[in-house]
Amino acid sequence: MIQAAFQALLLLLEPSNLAFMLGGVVVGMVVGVLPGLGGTVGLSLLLPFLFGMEQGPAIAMLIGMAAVVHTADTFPSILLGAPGSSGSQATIMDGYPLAQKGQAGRALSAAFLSSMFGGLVGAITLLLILPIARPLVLAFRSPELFMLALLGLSMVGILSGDRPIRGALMAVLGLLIAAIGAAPATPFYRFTFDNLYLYDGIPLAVFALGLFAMPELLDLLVKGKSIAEGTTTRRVSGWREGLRDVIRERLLVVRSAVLGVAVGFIPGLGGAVVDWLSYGIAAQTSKNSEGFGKGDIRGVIAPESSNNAKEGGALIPTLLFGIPGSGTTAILLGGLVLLGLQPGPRMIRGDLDLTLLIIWTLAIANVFGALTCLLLSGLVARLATLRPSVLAPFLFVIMLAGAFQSSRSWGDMWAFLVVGLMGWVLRRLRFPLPPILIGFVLAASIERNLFISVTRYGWSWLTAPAVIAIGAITVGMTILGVRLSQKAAT
Amino acid sequence: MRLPERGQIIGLTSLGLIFAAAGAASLTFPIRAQIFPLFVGILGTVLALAEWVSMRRMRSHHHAKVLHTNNEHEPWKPSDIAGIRTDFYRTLPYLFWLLGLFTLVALVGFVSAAAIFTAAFLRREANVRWTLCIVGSLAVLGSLLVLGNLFSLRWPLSFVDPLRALGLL
Repeated sequence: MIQAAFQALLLLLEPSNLAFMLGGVVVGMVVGVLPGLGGTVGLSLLLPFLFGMEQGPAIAMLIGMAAVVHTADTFPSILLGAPGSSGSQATIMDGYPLAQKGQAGRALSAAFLSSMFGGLVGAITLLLILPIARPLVLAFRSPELFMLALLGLSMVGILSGDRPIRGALMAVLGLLIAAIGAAPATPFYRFTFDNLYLYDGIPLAVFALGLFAMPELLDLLVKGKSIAEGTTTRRVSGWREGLRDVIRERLLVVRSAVLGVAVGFIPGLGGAVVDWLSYGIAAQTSKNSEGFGKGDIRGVIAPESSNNAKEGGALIPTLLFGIPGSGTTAILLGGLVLLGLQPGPRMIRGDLDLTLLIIWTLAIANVFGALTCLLLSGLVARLATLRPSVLAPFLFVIMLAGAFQSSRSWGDMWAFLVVGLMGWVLRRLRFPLPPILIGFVLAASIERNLFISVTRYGWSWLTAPAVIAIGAITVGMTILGVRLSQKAAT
Repeated sequence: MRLPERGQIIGLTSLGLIFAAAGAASLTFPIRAQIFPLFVGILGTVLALAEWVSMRRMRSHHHAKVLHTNNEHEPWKPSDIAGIRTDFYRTLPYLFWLLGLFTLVALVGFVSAAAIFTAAFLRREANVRWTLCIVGSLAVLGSLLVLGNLFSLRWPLSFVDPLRALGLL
């Protein structure tokens, strides 16, 4: 294991891998800084460019991007009072008041440093869990993996808002869309309507770009004006004070990071919840908490530490069980599949070096992202003040260029448009979109494991103790979710 | 940006019908291709029905006279219909821009179309100065050419392609 970890580090330090990781970090920073765009959109934009790439550089680029989004999204939260992504909403509570008091530099440096430590805690946890979880994961057979995927789907449904059934319905819609095209176990084409393009199914990159990036961009354009309009990027100073704050509040940094990892580990929870949870706990458990909400630096440190640590936690179920816990990890999972990898037991059995490469990239990209944010803060902050109509043509072009690379046919562009319109309409009807993508990505694993289970074990696998246990947890979680949502509604 | 309850019910009913149709269609598939879509079709139909019933129950039990939305606990208002119409009409021009880009791509090739589209969009929608429009357009042109060579990207075939004729692609 130690030798494999050392080899993975050497692999990452190869110039081509480092260069692609830095490229990913830059894209992640830009995406994080632009209000409204997040890790899901950023990964969607990168996904089409993976075709033909080697595994090492491609993984470095993807993880490099995902690792720094929640570091860079701090800029708009603190300087403009607008969240850069869903994970930085709680930072506004105290970060923006600090900026208004002229302490933007202090807030930013504290945020970057705690983000960096949070990210490192996430990577270390992932590294430590790997040898412990490995024997457990390897003991899982197709029936258990099928049930785990169902558990992942049900939790995504439950945790996607106050209408859990609707979330589950969206996940099943993702499964149905993924069923379009050739059946994996037999030469038969399903739901293709004799359209040649659909014979291979809808490519993940086209689907992710259409579902997330297009509705997001249309909404930004419809809003018309910049989120930053009416505000100015404040003068940034007071860096050292922020660094000292983090050192003084080191226990809070560690505690929030551990919370972030734990929340990230639970599929479907992550994203928008972790920063509020961390902020709430910090406010409730800290001494002299009356300053929270008015510009307390602890209100910046806690959410920033936890939202970066969450990424490491979210990678545990993604890599070890092939269960994505969020839209971002769903795209990442799809990206790994595009690269010929099979997340799940096979990933740590046959591709341990690449699994460790992911962990190293996560750690190094976090450090690099935080340092770059510190160094380029003045320049990067200005990006957030651009109007959507200035960004839109560039993003439209990147999206279409990316979509076309999937199968290099006009069908990709039309599919992008159709999926984009579907996403836009569903968003208007308040149907959550991330579960659709998670269902779409999990479909192949679900179908494969269901097929193997049925053909190999008949229906006797349904009586296996582990299957019953996971099934009971799934049913229990579903009932609990429905009851909680009913309570919330009353 | 809100739609009234009727829109959600129409959406749910449509989804339920799609799932039911998919489940029924899968009965004609060979058994190896049938298991998964049949499972999905049945599960989707049941969930759509459950959500539909849940919405109806919420209304009939007067938990709330209005439906709670998914992300925001804000009630629907009569003005929502006007809101969604406005929203749609404001989005429509951008969809036309996208269709315009598709048409341009079919006519002059992707890279040239992207450059023209960028300049036109920046000028018309963002009201940016002509000089900046041209700089933006050239930046797109240059980036696509460099990225195309670096990642061996291909672009959609078009009616005419000036850049291909010039040997730049």
